Formats: sequence, structure tokens, C-alpha cells
Amino acid sequence: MSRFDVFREAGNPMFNDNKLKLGIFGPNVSNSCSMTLANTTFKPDFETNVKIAKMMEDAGYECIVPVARWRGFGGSSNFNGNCMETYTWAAAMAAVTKKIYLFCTSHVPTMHPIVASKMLSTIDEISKGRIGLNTVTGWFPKEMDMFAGKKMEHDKGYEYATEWMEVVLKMWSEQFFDYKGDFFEIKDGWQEPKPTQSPRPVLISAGTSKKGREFSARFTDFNFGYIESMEHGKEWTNYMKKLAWDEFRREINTFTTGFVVCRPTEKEAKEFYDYYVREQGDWEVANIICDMFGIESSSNSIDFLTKARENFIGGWGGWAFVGTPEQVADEMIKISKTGISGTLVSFLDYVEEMPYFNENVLPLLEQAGVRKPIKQEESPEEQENTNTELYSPVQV
Amino acid sequence: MDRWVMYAKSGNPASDIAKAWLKNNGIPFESNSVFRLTRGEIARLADLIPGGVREMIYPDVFSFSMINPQRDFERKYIEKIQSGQLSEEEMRDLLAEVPSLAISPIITNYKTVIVGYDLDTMVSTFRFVKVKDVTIA
Repeated sequence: MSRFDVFREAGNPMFNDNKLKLGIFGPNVSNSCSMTLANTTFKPDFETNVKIAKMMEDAGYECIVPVARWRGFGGSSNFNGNCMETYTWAAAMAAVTKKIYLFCTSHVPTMHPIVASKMLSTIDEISKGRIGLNTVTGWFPKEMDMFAGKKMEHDKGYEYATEWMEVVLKMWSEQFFDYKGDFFEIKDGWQEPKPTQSPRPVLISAGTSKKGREFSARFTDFNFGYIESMEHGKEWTNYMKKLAWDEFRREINTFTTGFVVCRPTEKEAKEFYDYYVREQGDWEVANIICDMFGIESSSNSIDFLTKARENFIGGWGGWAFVGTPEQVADEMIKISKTGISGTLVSFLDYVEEMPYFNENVLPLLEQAGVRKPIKQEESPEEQENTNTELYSPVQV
Repeated sequence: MDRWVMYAKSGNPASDIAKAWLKNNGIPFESNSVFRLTRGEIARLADLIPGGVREMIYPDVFSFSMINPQRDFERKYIEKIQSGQLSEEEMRDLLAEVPSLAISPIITNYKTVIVGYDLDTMVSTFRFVKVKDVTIA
């Protein structure tokens, strides 16, 4: 039985029958994924997160991936500056949700792997096996500088992350072990409880560099990334699957992200996009981030640079799902056909916009066969009636 | 602890963006309308600005009109000021009477003054800012 088979048999939502899994990204940070000053009721507080999670559970979404952030990016929105830390966020969310799969996003240089492994096992207990780990090495220099010396050179960062992950996996699977690496030395490593999940919590990581992809192929179940086109999505998925199998004899899936502006008419959707991206977008922070990613290159056309900034403002560079429910569903179906196993989505205003998306787009995805209709849970009264029918005495 | 005050004009994008910057970067501030600027406050602010009160006033009719499209009578004052016809004191008196001439936002802790919105200026000004006193015995 393969690792994926084990996850499936255990009923892990990240390995259910839906061809296109759905989740959301960054409900725990200010602005979520939208770099804008546009009006929104969204706040990165616990009450709002619980409200959003309940909507998602009712609609059958698979997961929530929080953003790990220790400071904002600057600009007038100070994008993502107000941020709930992800381990404590996940523990709290685990206690008030029942079905959705949660993740902790962890900057590996900021936390010892023994601490991370213990906290994940604890959340695994609280959530009854609904917690996974998203590892990041830390790429935002000002943020890592706060930890004095923790921003490592890129390749070294992945060597560190490799040892970090090896320690976490040992903590989850072994007792009384020793480990000696370049960065960590563990003597007589021991942990209880171990995570209950079979085979273990789901692991995901982003990273488009060679080292980043190798790390993902070696350790994770999903490589998380951004697509520039459907063709690119297909190539990336095939590349990761081949890399993981050829180098490490293991399976891997891919997962992407996008932002949603779904309205009854295309005109309304485009007008709203113009408002929150072009008129009210925080172009300062988009510039800061584009500079950090080296997108501001003279070899790129003005058109490319403008589109890149707009995509960052719209939803952290994700795919633009802008239009009517049919148009949005069509794009999602195309993504599913590339082989990508799922997409996170973000909204400017989750509480206001997600219900319309759920009511109008999800049924289209079900019709197209990329998602199955959600099975409604019976209420306790309905369950009692069903039991009564089953066990009522036969009339002679 | 410093007390930061912003004199702003509603509907002015620079004021809105500066307000957002202060709020989202965790800097407590008091928000006042430019129309509440008193003669005393104008003098206090102008004394802190190297170029004096002239730096607080729109540099030309065009930029004033962009932010105040319906205001007309102030234009002649702007032309007078920028052509050097008024002394520092006369300009201060005029601004107290016609506060719509003031560029907004004006952000100050009465030790430093920022006129208008500029990201680099905001970032370099707001360093080592104490926002809460946690040392109360």
C-alpha cells in the first residue's frame, strides 16, 4: 500500500475523492491575500476565522492554510502586518471545528524541531487528526532579521530545513533516538503523544528553486506553487511527480492558489476588480514585494510588470478567478485538468463573498465531476428517526 | 510618549493613505481636520519647518485644484503667496483664516512635521516609537 493509499484509507480530506480540492489561504493575517485599501469587513481575528471555517465545513472545503508572518511588508496597508501566529491559531481552530483540515505554517529557522513536533502532536490530539505542516525557510529579509541572523543563504536554508524535518519525522516515529547533523544534535530523543494520523500529518511546502523543489519532492505530500498558465501548471505538476519518483521513489501532488471575484455578471466582477485592485490597491507594497522577488527587471515588459503587480494586489500573485460563476468554475475545471490536485482561494471579504461562491460555483464543479456533492450530516433527531425505522418490530 | 496628531482633509487620497499607514503600522494618532488649525498651531508647526509656513501651503493653483476642484476664491491667495508678495507672518495669518490652503495631511508630534504623504519619509520618521507604557509600577 502506498503512502497516498494509507492517507486515503484513513479518510484524510486532503486525499478524498474530489479531483479538485479546495481550501483558503491566509485568513489569519490582515488583508488576507489582497494588498488593498478597499473596504472590507474582513478582520484577521478569531471570531471571523471561526465564522469562515464553519462556512467552509458546511460547503465541503478540504483545508485552511494560514500564512506565517512576524511583521507586515510595509506600505499604507502594511500588508499582513496583523497576524495570528499559526500554531496557536491552529490549536484554537482545531477545538471549534470538526471536519476541515488545518495547517500550521512554520518558519523553520524560528522554532526548534522538537518544539514544532510536540506542538503538532498536541494539535493532532485536539483536532482528532486534522493538522498538517507547511514548512517555509524564511525569505522575507526584514522579518528574518528580527530574529538576528536567522536569514540564511538560500541553499543553506534548505540544508537546515532538511535536518529540521528529519528531526520532526523522527520525533513522530521513533523513541530514544540520537541524531547528529550540522545544525541539530539530539540525544535520546523522545516524545509522547505521537500524532494519531495515519501515516502522519500531511506535509506541504512551496519553493520554486531547485533546492526548494528537491526538498518538497523528498519530504512533502503536496508541492505548493503559483501557475502562470495552464500549460505551466501541467509542466510543473509532471516535473514534481517525476522528480519525487525518480529521486526518492515517492508520490507527490501539487496545489496552487488563486483569488476570487465572482459576481452575477462579468461587468460587475470586472468593476469590482478595478475598484479593489486598480483604484484601491496598495501599489507601494506591491512594488516592495515585486522588488523582493526580482520581478522589477528591465527585461520584463511594462505589460508583464503591471500584470504581476495586479496579481499580487489581487491575491498574492495567485490565479485570477474573476467573472461569473460559470467563468470561475471553468477556470477551476481547467486547473483540475492540468493534474493539479487542488487550489486555495482567497476573497477580499470572505464573509460577504464566500456564500455566493459556495452557492453558485461549487454546484458547477460538482456537475463537471471535479467535486462530489457534500453529504449532509444527519441531525441527532434525524439519526434517531432512522434508527427507529431500522429497528421497529416487524408487523405480522 | 510622543503624541502624534494628523491634520487631514477628508476625501483627499493622501490623507486617507497616511491615515491607513499610521493605523496599519501600529502608530496611535489623533486625527483632526485642517479646518481646525488655529493661528497658534500654525505658528508652532511653521517654526519646525525649515521653509516656514510656505511649505504647508499648496505650491501652485493646479495642485490645489486637483484636491479642491470646487474651490475658486483661494486661487488668488496661492498666486500671491507663491509670488513672494506676503511676509511669513502675513502668510501665517492668511492660513489661519483660509485653512483650505493647507496641504494635507500634516502629521506632527510637535517636534517633527511631515507635510503631505511620502512612504520613505513615513518609514524614516517613525523609528523607535513608543506606543504604550508597560513600566507602570
